[in-house]
Amino acid sequence: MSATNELLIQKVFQEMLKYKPSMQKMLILDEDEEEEELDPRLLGDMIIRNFPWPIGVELRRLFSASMRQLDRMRLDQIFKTIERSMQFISFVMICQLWRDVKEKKLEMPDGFKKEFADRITVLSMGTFTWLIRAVGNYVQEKGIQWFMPEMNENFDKKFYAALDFWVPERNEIGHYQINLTNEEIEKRCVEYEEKLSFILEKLSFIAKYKLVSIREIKVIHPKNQEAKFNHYIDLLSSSDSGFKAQELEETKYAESSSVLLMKSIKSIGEYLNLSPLVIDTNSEIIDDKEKFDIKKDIFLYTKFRGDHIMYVGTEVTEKCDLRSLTNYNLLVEQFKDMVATISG
Amino acid sequence: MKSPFKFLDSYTKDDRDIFFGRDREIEELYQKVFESKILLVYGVSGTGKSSLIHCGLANKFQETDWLPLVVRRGGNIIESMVAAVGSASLTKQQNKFVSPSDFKKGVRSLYLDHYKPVFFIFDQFEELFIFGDREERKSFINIVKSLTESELQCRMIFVMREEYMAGITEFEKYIPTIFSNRVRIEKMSHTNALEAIKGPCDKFNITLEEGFAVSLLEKLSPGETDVELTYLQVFLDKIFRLSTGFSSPLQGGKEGGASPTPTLTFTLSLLSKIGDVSDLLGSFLEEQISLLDDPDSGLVLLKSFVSVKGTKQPMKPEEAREYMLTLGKDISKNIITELIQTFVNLRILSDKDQNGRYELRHDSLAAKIFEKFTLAEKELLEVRKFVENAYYTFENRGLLLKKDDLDYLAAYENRLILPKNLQDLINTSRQRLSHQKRILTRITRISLIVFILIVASVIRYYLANQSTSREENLIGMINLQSESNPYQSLNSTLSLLEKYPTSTVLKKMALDNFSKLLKAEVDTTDQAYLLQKELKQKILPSAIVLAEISKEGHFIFGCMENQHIFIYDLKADQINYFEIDGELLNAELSEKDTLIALIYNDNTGRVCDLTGNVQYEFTTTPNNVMNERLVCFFPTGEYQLAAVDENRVNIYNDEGEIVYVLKNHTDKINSVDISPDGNFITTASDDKNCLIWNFNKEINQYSVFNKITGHNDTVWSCEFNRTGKYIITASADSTIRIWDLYGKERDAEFSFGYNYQETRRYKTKYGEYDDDVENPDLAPYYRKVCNATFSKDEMSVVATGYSYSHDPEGNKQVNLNQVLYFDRNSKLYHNLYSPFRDIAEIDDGKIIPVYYDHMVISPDGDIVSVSESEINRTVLLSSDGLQLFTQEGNFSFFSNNGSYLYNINLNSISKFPVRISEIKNLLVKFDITGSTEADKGLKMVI
Repeated sequence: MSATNELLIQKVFQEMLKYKPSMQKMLILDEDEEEEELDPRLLGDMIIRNFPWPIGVELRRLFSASMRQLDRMRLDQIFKTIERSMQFISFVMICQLWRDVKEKKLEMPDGFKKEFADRITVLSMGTFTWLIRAVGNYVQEKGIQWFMPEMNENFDKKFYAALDFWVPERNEIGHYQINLTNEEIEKRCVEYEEKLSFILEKLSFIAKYKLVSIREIKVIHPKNQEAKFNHYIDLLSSSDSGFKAQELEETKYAESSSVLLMKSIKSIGEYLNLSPLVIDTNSEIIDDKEKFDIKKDIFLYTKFRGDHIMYVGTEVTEKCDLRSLTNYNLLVEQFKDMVATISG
Repeated sequence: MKSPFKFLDSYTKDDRDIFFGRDREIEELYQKVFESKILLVYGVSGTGKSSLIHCGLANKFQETDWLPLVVRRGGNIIESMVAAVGSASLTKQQNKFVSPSDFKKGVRSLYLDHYKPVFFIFDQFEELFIFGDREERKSFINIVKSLTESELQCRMIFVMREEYMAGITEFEKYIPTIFSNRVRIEKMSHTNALEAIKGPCDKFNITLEEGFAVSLLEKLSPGETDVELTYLQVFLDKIFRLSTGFSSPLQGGKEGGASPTPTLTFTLSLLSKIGDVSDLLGSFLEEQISLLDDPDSGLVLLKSFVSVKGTKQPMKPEEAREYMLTLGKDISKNIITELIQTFVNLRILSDKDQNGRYELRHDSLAAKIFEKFTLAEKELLEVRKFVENAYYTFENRGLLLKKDDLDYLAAYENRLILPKNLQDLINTSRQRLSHQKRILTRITRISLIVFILIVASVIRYYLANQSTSREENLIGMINLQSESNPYQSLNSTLSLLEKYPTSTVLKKMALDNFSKLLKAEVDTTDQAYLLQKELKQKILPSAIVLAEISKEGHFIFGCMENQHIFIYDLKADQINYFEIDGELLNAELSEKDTLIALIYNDNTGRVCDLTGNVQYEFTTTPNNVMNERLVCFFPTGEYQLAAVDENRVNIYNDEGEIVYVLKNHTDKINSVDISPDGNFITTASDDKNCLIWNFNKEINQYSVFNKITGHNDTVWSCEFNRTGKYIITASADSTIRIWDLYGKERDAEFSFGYNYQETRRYKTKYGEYDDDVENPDLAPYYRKVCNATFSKDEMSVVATGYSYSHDPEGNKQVNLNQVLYFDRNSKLYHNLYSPFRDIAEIDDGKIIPVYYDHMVISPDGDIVSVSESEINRTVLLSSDGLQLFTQEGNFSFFSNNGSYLYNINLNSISKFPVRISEIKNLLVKFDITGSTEADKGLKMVI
């Protein structure tokens, strides 16, 4: 691997290892392959696989051979990676907030409520920064336990300050399309990589958690016996979108057709449902002409306008109309409920 | 001006702007490519499959998400795959790509180079079924299976003509889901074809006259709703060139121009100028070939780019030349190169690929050329293909052509011109076949000779039998003599033995006669009297209950019913007695120290001199099964005795002081033995292990040298062989095993008892297994083993088995029996013709050992003496199972040189010569001779 990415990979991997020591073992891939020595290139792959898919896929793109030149493409990809990372973390925070407010564990201050209602309909990097800081500080102040408790420790002033760096930079480069010299681009590529590395190190605890998609839940209820629920799930951690399927037999059941952040895939006991902010269309059956436009992908919420919820794909790059999804109306309802609950 | 139309080429990623009319198929492909790791894309020729992948699908992906590796079969699909992986790798591939696992490593390395999902695109995949053989397909299937089952970021797209789809079923057996994800590419509908016409024209500012596109499609495929894309592209290209005034590629024109002219218009009149388009390609080909200087050579060259199935086949110029030779055309290399370049310029052949191969631009061209093949040419190409496949098999598996193959080829011998390697294969195959024929003839001859020899042997055997019958008659006569005159009979037998020294029957007769001689009533003046006196049995004061022979063989010692120890010095022919107190379990004698160790059942032992003076006492721990190895004298060195004491062994010096304690077993020790050089000690224990100890000078202590593990139950005994390099162990797990000093088992185990695995456990009436209860029905087979010792020649092993029974009062008692095993290298035990077959019975084809109470083998290993206490009988058996001699007795021992057998019967010890040479010596020593007349008579009869 070229020197580009190398330091980032080393740092993030070492940080991840603290939260997930088993990664060391996972470097040995197949039993039938007796590797003489460890291939250092595997570390990058391990990072990709251990971040949730929306972050991992952008990292893979950043690490790809097409992005190793210190050029404008790389600069844009760094922005995309940081934006997806912030977006994902914001969504996790919003979903916990939604749950906790609904369960009356938490009541948000009026100022936040108003700003949230304003900002949530159109997302931007500024919104993510605001959300992470505002929610993070308030939850910490109230002594509420995060679903991912590592956030309490890792989301400190230094972290928030690091997030603040990106919005003006993106505005300058991304939105105003200023002409940068090649030298300037190269310089910024190096600088941004370092900044990105810091953020990713702070988020490396996510390696402990699993992002899964509940494809289907089957009820098995034999006579005179307790019902069992077979969960068919896809593990949304991979280097490409060929997600690994798994079957979980449980006496409880999770929420169907959802993307969940789970503490462990051994049991569905503790999870955070990221619907409708993160959705998976892979299980949608294309049984109607109208559905031909639906793309199979993991989508992240991006806009709500005119009773229409809009998403951006993680793999699919073009715009995609998801209104013909079977559960589209449910997603809209969920979104409205989420906004209503949080913003009071 | 560059043409916006592709003529016969596929669209590539760079043609995105002029690729129209295929949105639905592209979307379907993009969806399907993620549904499974394998995607099958198929359709008839000319539907634009390759274009859809290389342009349509490729442009759906971001640069970062798509690493396409396009693989054409070339000479071999696996080699092409390796080349594709190698050329795309940034890090040098380290492995040799031999096994599927190598491919996994290679693809992983490729992924880690690029961090992009790898897409193998197997274009024109039908080539594998047209040109490849079974071996190549099988290897390829294994690689595909391995890659798609792995977690590698690797997907595969197979693009092929649907006529060859049946070939995929060969994959289905190993990759059941191969058919499940597929897309059929159909001919383009007129609606989409309109887009495919208008789209590129718009991009190139070409105006279409109203109705032009519809009329073009109607002209190209009258009455149809879909259109052949290849023809559409060729047709559009032709119109473009006509309208621009560029020389048509059909007339050897080249691409040129900088930018499209804004005024270019495709008109209906232009369309009507073209005339009939029903055989666009056919007429194009005809035209081009006719324009060549040597049309005939040009056509044959093009034919070499067509497979036997009428599809295109990639060729290097030198390969094409060889093909032309097969088709009967010999053209120089230079001319071929020139012709190929002409066809490339004419856009009939595509430019050479990375492997240096050229090929026809499209299968539809191949089909047209194939139509020009004569039947004879097709036949020759088929034959050539057959030899090529055979050559590939030969290269991979070393298999030559068979007789039938050569017969088939013989018919074409005069017409078929092949490359050297293929011709060599045929020649080598012929030579091998002829060589095999010669060998067969030789074998037949040898078989005939062997047959004649067998017949001769049978005749010889018959004659030999005749001779044996004569010998039997003589033996009968000797027997008659023995009743009246044992001297004469013995002498006659001995004379006969000189002629037949291996005859055991004669040996038996000699022993019988000698025995009669000993028992004969003779006068004190008779020489035989002195002989009888010499071999007179020793009478002891009381019955012997325990007897042993010292290791060096100079003393027989033991215990008598009257609580006295007897020690018989064989050399001095003298017996010492002394009295003991307590119940003696066993005794051990050291010739070096002239001491005897006595073991009592009260956990004590005493070391005495040979007259009974106690030197010192020691403690030991007997058990209820086997107490023969609780102590052992050191054969050399400064220490005297090793004695088992619980889970320790105490080493005593000659003062009776414990100088070392060997402690490492976790359970009771049952046996101790010292190697002949005194350097090693071995111990066997209830903890299922044996330990090998040696003296560690660094710590001035005995320490464990090695551990013998492998027995599954109590190890009762351990014994060094005479070299001290091996240890034999016997265990309650019913096995006897031999180990070296490093604890490595030297031979497969002996199992003690017939079929013991199935019968060793007896089920009680309650349905439970009880190892301690003997099943009377299984009695002969139900044996655990508590002792094993090598015979002096180390060709055999005598093992002692034990079982439990209950006396009428219900007390548990141990029954010991011995059995003989032979060294398996001599293959005696498992051989029906075992020399000792008398001590093994044959039951249902299996050899079952017969157990005796006591058993000893002569030092030469050719005689065994077995005793049965219950019937008070000792039998001497020869190696062919003949009972040489029977007498009353409970124990017996061979003398050191094997000349005598010492037989113990109640309170007597007798000595009897068992070697013919010793009998002769005795007869000479005591000057005993019989009449020689009878002997002479016998010789005359023989």
